[in-house]
Amino acid sequence: MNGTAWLESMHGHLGVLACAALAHPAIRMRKGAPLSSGARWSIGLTTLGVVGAFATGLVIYARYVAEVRPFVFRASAQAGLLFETKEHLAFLVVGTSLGACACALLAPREARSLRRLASLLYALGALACLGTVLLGTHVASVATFAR
Amino acid sequence: MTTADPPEGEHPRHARLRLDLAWGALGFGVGAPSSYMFVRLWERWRDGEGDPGLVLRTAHTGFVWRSIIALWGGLLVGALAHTLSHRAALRVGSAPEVTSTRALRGEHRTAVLLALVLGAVAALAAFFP
Ligand code: HEM
Repeated sequence: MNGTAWLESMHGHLGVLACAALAHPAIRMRKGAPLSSGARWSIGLTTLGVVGAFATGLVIYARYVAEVRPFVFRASAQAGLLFETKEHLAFLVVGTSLGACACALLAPREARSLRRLASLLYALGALACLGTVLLGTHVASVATFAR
Repeated sequence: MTTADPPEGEHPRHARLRLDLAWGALGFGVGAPSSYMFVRLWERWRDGEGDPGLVLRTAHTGFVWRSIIALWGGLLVGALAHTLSHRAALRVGSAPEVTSTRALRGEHRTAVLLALVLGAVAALAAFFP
């Protein structure tokens, strides 16, 4: 397995982990209760996972475009286009998670409503992340680095 | 701690500041993905339908630039949300319990709006390659 294929595997695992982790604050904060220190840690780590998945995706992206994308399009133009959709969803995931994380951590104790809104953002992020994971896995099944 | 001690709590000014910043963060969370989709829609309008040949020729930097512009858009929306929250506080006073409830009185409307905006963004993201 070459370095990029290894990184892609890491990226995929982080992505799946992020997807599961995002559902956690979405459920826990839905009533807007103040956060315990454990919940703060969990929110921080979730965001780290999402940013990690996004960042490793960016690292392998240049080689994907140069080396894998032509094969994906040759095998299936639809899969090639679906990768583009995955990019858009990935940005939705990282944008909503960063905003929701900062909002949840900054909201004062009595601002329950803000935490409820943050949980809504997390729920959308989790759904978008599920879509990203499914599309990423589908495209990687068509063509990938470890050919 | 003895019974005579005052209850522990955050200084109202700090709580106020955090409330404004939290609104700003929420604004960023909605603004950044929305800005991304606006940039993407503009690109589609400029370049036409999603043509596989065209997509194959695009460089990987396209996504990076789009993301940077969207982050910038998110920061602007965040700054706007922060300012609106701050102004609401000036109107209704600075006690955090008061402002957090009164400033958030329209929270249900905000929640519905948030869901609609992000739902639209997600739908656009899902349908436009
Ligand atoms: C948080 C967001 C993201 C999640 C959850 C995610 C998830 C995934 C998953 C599950 C895979 C499949 C891995 C495998 O089966 O080996 C994958 C593949 C991939 N992702 Fe992501 N990803 C995200 C963001 C990104 C970003 C931002 C980029 C770059 C722009 C990117 C680039 C790639 C590439 C190049 C592949 C390999 C595709 C192939 O081998 O054909 N990802 N992603």
